[in-house]
Parts: sequence; structure tokens; C-alpha cells
Amino acid sequence: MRRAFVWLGLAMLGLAAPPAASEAADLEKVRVSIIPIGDVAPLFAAVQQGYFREVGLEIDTTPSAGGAAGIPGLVGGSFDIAYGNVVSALLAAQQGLDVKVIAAGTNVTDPKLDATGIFAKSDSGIKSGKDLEGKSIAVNTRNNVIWLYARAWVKTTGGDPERVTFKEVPFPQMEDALRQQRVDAAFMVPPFSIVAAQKGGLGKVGMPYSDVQPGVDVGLYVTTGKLLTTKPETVKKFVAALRKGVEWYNANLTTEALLTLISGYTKADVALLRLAPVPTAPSRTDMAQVRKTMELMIESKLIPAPLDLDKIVDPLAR
Amino acid sequence: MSRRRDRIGPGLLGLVSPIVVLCIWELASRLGWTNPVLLPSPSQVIAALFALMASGAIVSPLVHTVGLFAVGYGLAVPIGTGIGIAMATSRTLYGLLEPLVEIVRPIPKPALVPVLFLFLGIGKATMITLVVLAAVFPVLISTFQGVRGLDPVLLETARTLQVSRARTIVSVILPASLPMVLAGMRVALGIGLVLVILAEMLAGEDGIGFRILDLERSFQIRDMFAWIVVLVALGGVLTKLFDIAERRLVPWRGRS
Amino acid sequence: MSQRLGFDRVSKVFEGTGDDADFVAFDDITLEAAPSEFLAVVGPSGCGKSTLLRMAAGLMDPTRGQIVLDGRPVVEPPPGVIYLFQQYAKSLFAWRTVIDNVMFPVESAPRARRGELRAQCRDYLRQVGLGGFEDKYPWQLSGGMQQRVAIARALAADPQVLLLDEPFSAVDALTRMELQTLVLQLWERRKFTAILVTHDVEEAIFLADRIAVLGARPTSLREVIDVGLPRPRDQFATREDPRFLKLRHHITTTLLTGNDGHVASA
Repeated sequence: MRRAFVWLGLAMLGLAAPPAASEAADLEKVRVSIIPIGDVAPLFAAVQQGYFREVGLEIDTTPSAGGAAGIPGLVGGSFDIAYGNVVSALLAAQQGLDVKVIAAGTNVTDPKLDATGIFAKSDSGIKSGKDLEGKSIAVNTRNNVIWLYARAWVKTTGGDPERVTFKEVPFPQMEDALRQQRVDAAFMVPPFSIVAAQKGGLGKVGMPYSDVQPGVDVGLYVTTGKLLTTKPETVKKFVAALRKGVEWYNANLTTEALLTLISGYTKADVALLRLAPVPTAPSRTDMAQVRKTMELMIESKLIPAPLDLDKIVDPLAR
Repeated sequence: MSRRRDRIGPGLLGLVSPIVVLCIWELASRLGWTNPVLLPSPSQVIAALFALMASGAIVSPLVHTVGLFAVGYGLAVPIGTGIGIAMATSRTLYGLLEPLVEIVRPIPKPALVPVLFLFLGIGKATMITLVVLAAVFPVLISTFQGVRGLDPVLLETARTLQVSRARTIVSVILPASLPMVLAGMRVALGIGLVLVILAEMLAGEDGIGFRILDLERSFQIRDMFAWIVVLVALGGVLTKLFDIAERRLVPWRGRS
Repeated sequence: MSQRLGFDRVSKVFEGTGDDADFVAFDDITLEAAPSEFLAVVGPSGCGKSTLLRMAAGLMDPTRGQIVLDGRPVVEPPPGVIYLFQQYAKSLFAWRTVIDNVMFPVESAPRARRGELRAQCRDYLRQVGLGGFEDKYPWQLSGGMQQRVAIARALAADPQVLLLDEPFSAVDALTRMELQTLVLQLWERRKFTAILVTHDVEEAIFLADRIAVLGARPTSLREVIDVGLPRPRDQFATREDPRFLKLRHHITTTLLTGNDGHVASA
């Protein structure tokens, strides 16, 4: 009786194997670590429109809390490509991790269209960095672009960043944390910032990116130098398909299709997304902006000396 | 001659395996078998550790972690002992408390973090509660079993000698079940330390857990490892202190 | 100084669990120890003599009948009735020194009397032959010495009735003789009522004024015998007295003969 089950099981395995094998032979799987925010909408758009499949790639995404969390996974071999922020990428490079920037992710060029910002409860009385002294502000992770620019904003608005507490809260949970007063302020990004603004009770008190460094390159896609040398074609194909996704994204900023897409992977409410402009996405990394960020990092003592950006940012990205 | 070897032998033997592992690790690093960025060699970690101590940067996080642990553990022990004794000596209290204990105890305490954040915010209250919740149960269970397992002769002796219930608990039950209570406290020591670090990572502003996460976020792996060494040393010191205290408190252990 | 303790038509039935039948430990026993009397209770192993003593101590309730202490029924462990456990080692507190163990019954006394009581306890230790051992711990003492500590503690509790539950069964023969002599000395000095439960017939005859002989299954009172031997008793002279031997013969045969008259083989 038991013997029969064993044979049956083996037979089922045998039947199951061939189809899976044949499908895997068609597409090359690329594991990408992402943050479930508006920044990666072009990536998902490219997947949805079939741009990756056209070049023989299958994208497998895994969410993380931020680049500071995704990059270790990249270096450790769990991912082939990671979406992260410019600060984490430079920090990693400075520490000797083998990371290379291969594509632009997101930037903030027009202050009028800057959907990011530091939010606080409307009745809190918090209007500047000085008001935040002795209080707490939510960032997705510390030691990254959000954290760095929040600190810079606190300083430019008259406060001492050392007297502000930075608490780690994942982006999707920031609005709740703010409303339930677990934190006094939160540096939020789209689509969550858009949703929060529409829901009322919360006010935007500052826009660190636009206030501190307009045009800043915030997010980018990184991979390991090892993958660049062992599979250069795969990386080229990825970047090309991603760029097509960016084009489609920029052409469909107000369409229902895009908003549904974003709502899908972020769980944000489509109805609220309709009410505010979705920011554009860049196709190229702006080296001048990355250099400015690096200088801010040196000024904040995050890194001791300038890095050779030409070695870190691959020509593919520029 | 052989008597001395008997005493030193086991102690030295215990050092052999860690030293062997460290040597292999150092060798692997020197030969380039490991990624020096991801896995620094022991010599690099020790260098980072010394730099940490020399600069005095080791003090604040260490004080924070030890302080948090002391508060959490210091609350968990009397609570666990008290409830354990209460449940073991009173049928009513047992009936009332047992369902609660059995529901909360198996929950992995990290799973309660979101709930704690909701009610207590992201800060000291949550951290202390987390540590207390984790450390209280080993103490409670051990105390309960210790008291239940007491030889009835001890309690009957107290009864026939006209000892009040309160004095029985303080003068007979507590000292008699002390070995078991201490066993539970020892387990709680380890669990408590683990949860202090976790709490600091999730909700802290300072401390060893916070520093380890912070250094990981900025990819300073060598310093991160140095702090892990500090953590291991802290655990070792606490355990040793516990051993010494236990020997003082229960000198009759193992002899009858 | 001493009290009268009696068993009035006492029966004890242990309820069977599940399919097991109820176990009748003993049925309808009436027996009394007069003030300052030394009463021994002997019977075969498992006949429930310890249970009888536990009921006298107030640790267990009879199913029928009652224990009467100086005319009042015993419900809770009465003050002045002190129980010497068979497992004396387990009744001592391992975490306390010998002197602190002996002090235990009188610790709740007002602070003013502490010094006086401590000196008294030291004296008790001397009386039981443990002078100088005050600061040792129970685990550092031999079995016989531990039993002496228990006896000293019993003295400190000022017993009106002392219940001894096979107190010397776990020590060697020589130590047993020493402890028997000790108990007799203390009894003659303090004049408490003593009830001794033992399976050792010779011990019963040596120590007691009267002996209650229990029979087995179901346990009942077969006979109560007056010992009638002169006091003070002597470990050699008394044991070699022909009356001693006759009593021993009589009691032992009674014990070996079951209730149905059948003599148990060796």
C-alpha cells in the first residue's frame, strides 16, 4: 500500500517536471529587490507591458524596507539587482562592497510636482526643524537618503538634527504611525504621501528634497560588479527594458492603467491617487546631482572623503 | 599531579574549539577564501573592537543595553516568581490565571511588537514590556513546577509547627523551591538578553542592538562584528555572575 | 504539660479511582493515650499505622469517627501536637543551619525573647548530643544526627503530644539504640504524651507503657497489651528480662497470625 503511494508520488513529480523545465529554458530569471513605493512603478509597468519578456527576462521581485536593507541581500547573493537610494549605494561603495549603479530610479526635479514631504498632524504645531527638537520623525531606514535629507532639512529650518530622534518605520506604515502618534512627523513618499495628504488631518510641513537640493537623484538600481562582468548582456537588456517602462510611465501619468498598477503593488487607494499628480521618472542618472549628494554626505560626516563616482556609476546608467 | 590535571583539564579543553575556529577563520581570510568586506577576519574585528574601546564609544550603548536588561529582568523575576507561587499554592488563582498564561506564553514575543507599538508607542515602554513578557514565563513555569514539586513533608512540617500561610510561603516554600526558581531565571537571562537586542533594533535610540542595526545600515561590517563580540562577552559575563550568585544562594544544591 | 489523645471509632477509607475498589485502611478503631503515657502502635507493614498517626496530627481526616484531644475533636493540626516524620531528612530545611532549623518553631516570638530562645535551642541540641554542631548544615550530618536535629526541633516546639512515625527505621542498629535511649530520657524529663508507630516489636516493648497491636486487611485493633516492665529501661537488662522475651514472642506470633487465624509462613 505504502509502496504504491511512493510510486504514485514519483510519477507525479515526473509529470510535473517537464513543463516547468521547458518554461524555465525560455526566460532568464532576474531577482530584483524593490521597495513597494511609487519609484518602481516604471519597473512594474515594464513587466506588465511585456518589455522584459521581449528580451527574454523574467523579473522576480521581493519587497524590502529600503535600500539599506536590500543592498546587503544583493551583496549576499539573494538578489541580482536591487532598487535602493543613492546614499545607501554610496555608503556601500565606500565600505568596499561591490555595488554598481546601472539605472536611474527616481528624482525630484520640479518643486511644484514634488509629492514627497515631511508630514505632521495638522494640530501638532510642528512647522520647522526647530519644532522637531526633542521629538521623533519616521524614516524608512536610518543612514539612507531619506534620513540624510531629513536631517539636512531640520538644519536648514533652524533645528539641531542631533536633538531629533529618527525612528525606523516602513513606508506603508508611516501614515498609521503618524496618526496614532507613535511618531511626531514622517518623511513620506508617493503613493503614500499622496494618499495621506488627501485624507486630511495631516499637513505637509516641508519638502526636504526640493528645499535642500532641487533636482536630487533619490533612487537608483544597483547590481554587483560581479554580475556586470559575468552577465553584461543580461544587465544591458534589463536597463533597456526598464527604460521602455519609464517611457510608458511618463506617457501615462494620469491614466487609470498606471494608477491601478501602482495601487496594485502598494495597496494604496486608487480613488485618492487620482486626486494628485504622479511625479515623472528619469531615464538617466544625473552625475552632477549624485556628486552634490556625496558632498552632503561628507559634510554630514557619513563618509570621510570623496568617492570615485565614475567607477561606481556604470556608463549604462548615464 | 593528576589531581591538578583533573581540575585544569576540562577548563582548557573548553578553549580548544573556539581557538581552532578562530584560527581557521583567520586563515581563510588571509588566503582570500572569504569576502573581506562581508566577513572580516578575527584580527580586523579585534582591531575594530579595540578602537571602539579606546574611543569610549563602547560606553553609552553598553550602559543602555545593560540598563534596559536590568529593568526588564528585574521586573520579570519578582512577577514570575510571585505568580508562580500564587498559582501553585492557591487553587482559585490557578484556575483564574492558567488560561491566560497558556494563551500568552506560546506566542513568540516578537509577534506582539506591532500590538505593543499600537498601545505603548515606539519607545522605552514597548522595549521594557517586550523584555518582561519574554523573561517572565521561564521564571513563572519553573517556580510553579518547583513549588508543586516540593516534598509534601516540608509543607506538613510547617503545618504541624503551626506556621501561618504567609510565613510558610516566605520561610519554607520560597527557599525550598529556590533551585528551581534559579533554573528558570537562568533561562530567562538568555531570552531576556536576546529580546533586549531585538527591542533596541526595533524601537530603540541607543544600545547594542541599535548600534548593530545602524552599522549594518551603513555597511560598516567590521564595527558591526566588533559589537557582536561585545554582545557575546556581555552574555558570558552575565552568565558567570549568575553562576556565582547561584552558588552563594543554594550551597546545598546537589548534596543531601 | 501533656494531653490525652484518643481515637474514637476511627475508620479511614481511601476512595478507589476508576475501576479500583475502595481501600479500607482501617475500620472502627478506638484507642487512647493517657497524659504522659508512652503508647506504641505495632502492626505489619502497610496496615495503615502511619495513617493513624497522620490523623492524630491533624494532617488527614478520618472517614468516620474522630480524633479527640483533651476532650476536643481534632480538625486542624493542633498546637502542641508535634509530628516526627519518618523521612526526617526531608523534614529538615536544607537551606538553614542546624541551630536555625531548631529555632524554626519559635521564630515568630517577639524580638525581646529571641536571645533567650536561641540559648534554649542550643541547650536542646546539647541534650540530643549535638552540642557544637549548631552552624553545620543538615547535608553535612549523618542520618542519625539529622534525626537528632528533628528531635531537638520538636523539643523547641514544646510538645504536649509527640507523635513518632517509625523514626528509627532508617538508621543502623547501634544508632537506633542510642536514639531510643535519648527519646526515653527526654520523655522522662519532659513528660509529654508519646505515641510511637513502629514495625519493630522489640523497640515497642523497650520504649512503651502499653502496646496496641493492629491486624492486617482490614486493619483493626487486635489487642492492647500492658508492658509492665520496670523503668528506667536499660538497653541490656530490659531486653534480657524474661518478661520482655515473653511479650516479644506473644506479639510477634499475633502479628504473624492473620485475622482469619492463618499463620503466615516465613
